[in-house]
Order: sequence, then C-alpha cells, then structure tokens
Amino acid sequence: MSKPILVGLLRLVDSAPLILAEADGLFAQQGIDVEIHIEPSWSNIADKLAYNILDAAVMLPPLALAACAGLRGPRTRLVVPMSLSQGGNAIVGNHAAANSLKADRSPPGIRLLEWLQAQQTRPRFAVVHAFSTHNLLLRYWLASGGADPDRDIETVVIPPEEVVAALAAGTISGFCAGAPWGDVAERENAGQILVGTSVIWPFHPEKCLCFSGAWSEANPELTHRLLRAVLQAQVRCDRSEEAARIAALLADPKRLNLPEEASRAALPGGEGQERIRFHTRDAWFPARTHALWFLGQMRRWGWLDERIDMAAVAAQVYRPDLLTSAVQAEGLYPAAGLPSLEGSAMLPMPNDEAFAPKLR
Amino acid sequence: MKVLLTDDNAERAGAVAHVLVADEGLSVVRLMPGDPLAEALAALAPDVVLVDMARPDRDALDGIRQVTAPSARPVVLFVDEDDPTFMEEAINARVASYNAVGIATGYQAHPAPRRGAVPAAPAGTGRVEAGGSTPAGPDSD
Repeated sequence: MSKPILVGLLRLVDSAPLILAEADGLFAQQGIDVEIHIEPSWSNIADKLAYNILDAAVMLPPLALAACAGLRGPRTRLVVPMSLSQGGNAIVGNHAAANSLKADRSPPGIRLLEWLQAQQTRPRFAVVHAFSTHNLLLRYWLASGGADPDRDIETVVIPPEEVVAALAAGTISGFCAGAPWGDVAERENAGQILVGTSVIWPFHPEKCLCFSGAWSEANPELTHRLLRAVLQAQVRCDRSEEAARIAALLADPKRLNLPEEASRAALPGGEGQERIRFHTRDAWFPARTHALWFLGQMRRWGWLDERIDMAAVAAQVYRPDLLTSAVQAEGLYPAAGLPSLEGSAMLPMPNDEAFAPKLR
Repeated sequence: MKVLLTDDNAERAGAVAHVLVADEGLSVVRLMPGDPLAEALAALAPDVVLVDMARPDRDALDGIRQVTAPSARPVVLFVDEDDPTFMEEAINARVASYNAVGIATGYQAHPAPRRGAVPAAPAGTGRVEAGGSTPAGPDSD
C-alpha cells in the first residue's frame, strides 16, 4: 500500500458513513488506507478536490455541478459515483415569521407574502453555501408561495454552526441549514422550524461522495474499494439500533466533536423533526435526474448560462456507472440488475404544479 | 481599487497590508478578527478580496457573483489560471483563487506567505519587519 486516499469532510452529521467506515475498520477490510481530513468550509473542499489536494470528499451536489459548469472559477473535473444521504435540512424562521405563517407552510400561502411585505427591509436568510441544496430548496419553497427570492429576501452565507446565534441576535430572520441546527434553534428558543426540506421534496438527495475526476480515473480499483466500504457504512448508518453508537463516534473530540444529543436526534430513529437517511429508498443512487433538477434550479435563477448544456454536465458529473461493480459486489441490487442510468430508482420530485411560482 | 484583506493571523495580515498600501492605486481595508466576512462584503463592496483559505466563513465568497450579490463587483484574483503549479502552491499556502471577471489583467498579487513565515518583500517596497510590527492597514472610505 502506498499513498493513503485523502478524503475531506465537514463537521456534519451527514459525514457519518465516512466516520463509521473508519471506526469500524471497513476501509481496512477493503485493503485501503484512508486519511480523513476535516475541512473548515465547502469552498476548501471544492478547491482541494480541484487541485488534487484531496482525492474524494463529502460534497454538496449543486457545488460539484457548479464547479464542473465553471461557475466558481476554472472548470473542474469532478465525478459523483454515489449519493451519500437524503434529507435532514430545515427552514427556520424567527418567532415573528413563524407566528405570521402559522400552519400555512407547505406550500406557503398568502401569509408568507404578507409577512414579507410587512418587513421594512428585506429579511435576511442565511444558507450554508450559495450552491447548496439548502439554498435551492429555500428558494424553491419561497417561490412556491409566490415570493421572489431575489427581490423579497436577502441571502447571506453563514457557516452552519453560527446560524442559531445569528438568528438569536436578530442579524438574520431565518435560515436553511442541515441537522442538527433547526432543532438547536428551537431548543434555544431562537426561532421555529417552518418546514423540513423533506416536506418540500420527500427523500431529496442531500450530500454526495465526490471524487477528483483525474484521481478516480487513474485509480479505478481504489475507487471501487472505497465505494464498497462507504456502501457498507451507509447500511449500518441507517439502522436505528446503531444510532447511539454513531452519535457517540461523531461526538468524539478526536473525530467530529459534534453535540451528541442533537446528532442522535438527526439520525434514523431519532427525535428530530428532520432526519437523515443514508441507505434505504436508494439514498445511495446518484440519479442524473437529481443532477438535472439542481441544474434546472440554477438556470431558473439565472446563474447558469443558456449555452451550458445541462444534460452534458449532469452526465459528466453523475456517474452511477462507476458504482456498478461496488453495488454488485455488495449484492445491493436484485438479479434484475442496476436501474438504467437515468434512474428507475428515481425519487419523487416536488410537484411542480403545486409548487409553481407565480410570475413577477 | 478597493481591497478587502481578511486574515486573522495579525502578523501575516500586517505584512501583506504593508506591501499593498505601497501601491497608491489600492485602498486596503482589513477585516478584524471576529468580524463576519458576509457583512463586510455587503457593506464595503470590495473589488478584490484576499482571503485566508482556512476561514470557516470563506463560503460567503463562493458564488457571490451569481447568487448573493448579483450587482457586486466580482471577487479575487490571485494566480494566473494558466499556471496550475503556482496555483497549487497558492492553495497550499492557504490562499484561495477565484476567477475574476472584469478586473484588469496584468496585475498579479504574490501568494501570501506560508503560516508563520515572513514574506519576502517585493523589490522596491522595502524590507518588511518581522514580528508584525507593521501597523494595521489604513481603513479606506
């Protein structure tokens, strides 16, 4: 064994499969040496993948797509052979917003527009990254109630561990962030969960496992083994009887040092309003239809040039074919074989009729 | 051109500010430790941001042109895109590089020094004192 495989991740509950794979020796069982690097920001992960300082990472799918479409600097060749998790995010508002919206939240109705219009300045909403599922789902939800996220709110980017304090201080009126921050906001009485993102899009893809395209191409065998180990870890992460142990691992100061109770609440079988799913409902399958949904939303908001071929970007980045051998080795698919590339395992999309934004 | 310098390492930031203020064409604003990057971007609308790669709030810069501040001037240039080796070194030196659109070419900043190191002063700007004795860069506007 030569150089270890360098895998980046952030301090988040969705990083659990990588942490568990290391703790349970699943990487070693596959004969690979994996070095986990905890990074301070998504930008760091994207930059380090782009410049081959990391070989793979836990990643936001829209950020991987944006990097490959050239929206954040030079075009980067990244590949996503597997999806890592579903759900887990919450849209949180301050008490005034929550009281104004009442139960009128899914989709949000006239009360959202009334609350927005009553604000003297555009309310600020924080997301964890511009090119995040959080931002795209927040904008989708706002638009589904007839609001224009560019005109009616101000979007700021704040690290997830700082959003609850910003909400409590009144610096922001709301946020969309991953677990456990929605529940933490409620527990600290800083605000209320308006809607979990699984309500907006049931079983929506959340994090993915992203590889440097160059590394993956040069190391097909290592890619295969890494994927096998993570697939095994995902299965374990979805067992509610493992959740207490996994939360303890995530809380380990030598690992991610996350708040144990809040992590436990976000794991399968937990008490959080939004919980993360890692394996069931084909959470691992990187359907290109998902990539196309993310790209379509980026185009909808004018971030993606008309000249960029969305289908080509989706096909270049989302590579379920790279997962085939690992899935077969793990016996995860029945004899009928893998779904077609476009994904018979596709998850239900939000109903665009019900969520269609009004014109400006 | 307004430069926002964001680096909680006072010694390094002081040294970089010292080099930058020598250029009369630049007004340099330093973000003090603990100040949120997102607010400084909104308040100052800098032409260029020099950022410590390891800042947890660095994500506020990513996609800013498309998403969070469509009217703002584009952010940072640091390294020539045609020089991947140089770029990699800059990344290793904890300096981020973004594509800048609409900023005059021909201007290329030096990569910031590695942590703890004192930068070599470019010719003609005089010696940079070790130990962070350089005063904070002047605030502009």
